[in-house]
Parts: sequence; C-alpha cells; structure tokens
Amino acid sequence: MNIPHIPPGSNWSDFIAMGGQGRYVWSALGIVAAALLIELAQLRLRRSRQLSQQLFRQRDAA
Amino acid sequence: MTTNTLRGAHGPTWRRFAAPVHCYRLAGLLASPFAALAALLGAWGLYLGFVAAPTDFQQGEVYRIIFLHVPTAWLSMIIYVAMAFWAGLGWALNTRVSSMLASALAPSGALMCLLALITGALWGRPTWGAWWVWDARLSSELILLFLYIGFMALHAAFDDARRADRASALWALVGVVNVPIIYFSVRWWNTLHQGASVSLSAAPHMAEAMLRGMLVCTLALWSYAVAVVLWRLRLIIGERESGAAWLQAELGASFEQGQAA
Repeated sequence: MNIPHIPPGSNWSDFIAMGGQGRYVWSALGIVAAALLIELAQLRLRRSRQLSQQLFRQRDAA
Repeated sequence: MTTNTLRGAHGPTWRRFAAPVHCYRLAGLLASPFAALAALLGAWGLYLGFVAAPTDFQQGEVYRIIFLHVPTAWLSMIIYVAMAFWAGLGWALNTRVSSMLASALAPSGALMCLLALITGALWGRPTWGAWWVWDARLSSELILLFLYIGFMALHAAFDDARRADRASALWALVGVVNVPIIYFSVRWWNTLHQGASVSLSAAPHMAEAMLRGMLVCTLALWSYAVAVVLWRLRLIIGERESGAAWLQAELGASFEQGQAA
C-alpha cells in the first residue's frame, strides 16, 4: 500500500485513524454520503408513486 | 431570408424549452450523463482528497473535511443564486417551467447548506474546540438554510401553484442579498472562520494537491446536483402538468419500460 500521508510500513488502521481525528473525518464523509443516498432513494420513491398513480388513472379511464 | 427561418416559427429556438414537454424530455436526456460524471469525479475526488493529498502542517489530518465542506458550502450559495434567478425569470416572463426549476433547486440547495453546516461543525470541534460559534460566516450560512426552508414553506402555503411561484420568487430575490454577505463575511468581519483559500484575484493559499482534490470534489458534487435537480424537475412537471396528454403518454411509456426490464 502506498499512501503518501502515512509513513511506509503502516497499515490500514493508521489510515482509518487519521492521526487520531478519524472520528471527525469519517463522520463527515459518512453523513454526506448517507444524505446523498437518502436524497436519491426519496426521488426514486416519488418517481414510482407517480408512475403507479398514472397506471391507476389509465385503468380508470379504460 | 425571412424572419421566420432565422427565428423559427415560434420565436428563438431556446424558447422551445419554455414548453414543459420539451423541458421534461431534455431533463431526462441530460440527467443520467451528469449522474455518471458525478460518480466518476466523486471517486477520483475522494481518492485525491483522502489518499493522495498530503497532511496539513498545521491541522494534521482533520483538514480533509475541507474536501466535503467547501464543495457543499459553495454549492449551497451557487444553487441559491440559480434558484432566485429561475424564480425571478418565471415571474418576469411568466414561464412556469422556470418556476418549477426554482422549486426543483430548493431542496438540493437546502441539503447542501445543511451538509456545509454539519461538516463545518465536525471540523470546528477539533480545531476551535466548539461545534458552533456565532461567527459572521456561520450565522449567515445558517440564515441561508432558513431562506431555503422559508422558500419551500411559502411555496407550499398556496393552493394556486402560480401564486405560490410568484410569492416565493419575491422571497428568493430578497434573500439573494445574503449570498454576498456569506461570501465576504470573512473579510468584512473579524471571524473565527478562516479566510478564503481560493479566490479569483490571488494565487490559492494551499498546496496544489489539496487544491486539485477540492476542485474535483466540487465538480463531482456540482454534477450530482445537476442530475438530482433535473430528476426532481421531471417529477415536479409530472405533478403539476398531470392532466396533460403528452405527459400521460410519457409516463405510460416509462411504466411499460419498467415492466419489461
């Protein structure tokens, strides 16, 4: 593994630790990623609702 | 050459997109490429920011929150200006799709604003020793969040969609004054928040590798926001034009496509 900001010979846990500030760094990344995924899921749900409403409308019309 | 061939039979070509049907199709065409671009740039930007960029000599590793904080903060301001612009245009030219675009921008802008505040708090705690301070930069960004929430609440308060568009356009346009206040707050007041790392008038105050990561992350989030806003615009057009025959045909086709897949 070649990560410039941690000394050679260190392992993944050094990367995760982020110099002891890992909880702030990874919380920030986790919250941003979760928020974007929730936004996408919410749009998907709204889309499928719209399509099923449309289906009902067409069935009523028929 | 007659005026008609120059301008097209119904005025300049761009005016076509004032029609919900053209706008709906264009948004559908553009959204997926922007989403793909966002995924690629996002992976690259996170690699640059969290793996390739060097440790900061003052702040250590916690500064890496910058790769999330600055893109969300920039977009929260850019989206607000775009929202006010389209809301104003929808009011001035009476083009309802412009107003729908403003409504599609609002939730994304509010989310970016909230994320800028949260990532800022996670950065402030280890570096300043406080999650929150009533500093000019932080306070004006919080006001931006309230402006977004106000815009959406005001829009939701009217039964008539066009009246809602006009009232919230006025709100959005008045609120634009807050954007330069956020941007210049670190210069106008003595803030705990650090000054701008990047400006158009001076060389950036950061290492090239850090700057590259920040710009790629910003482009990634920008592409993501474009894709999400276009998808939301299609949903809003779908809700507000639900009686239109063209829309029923489009939705019927999408439904059959979904069944086949």
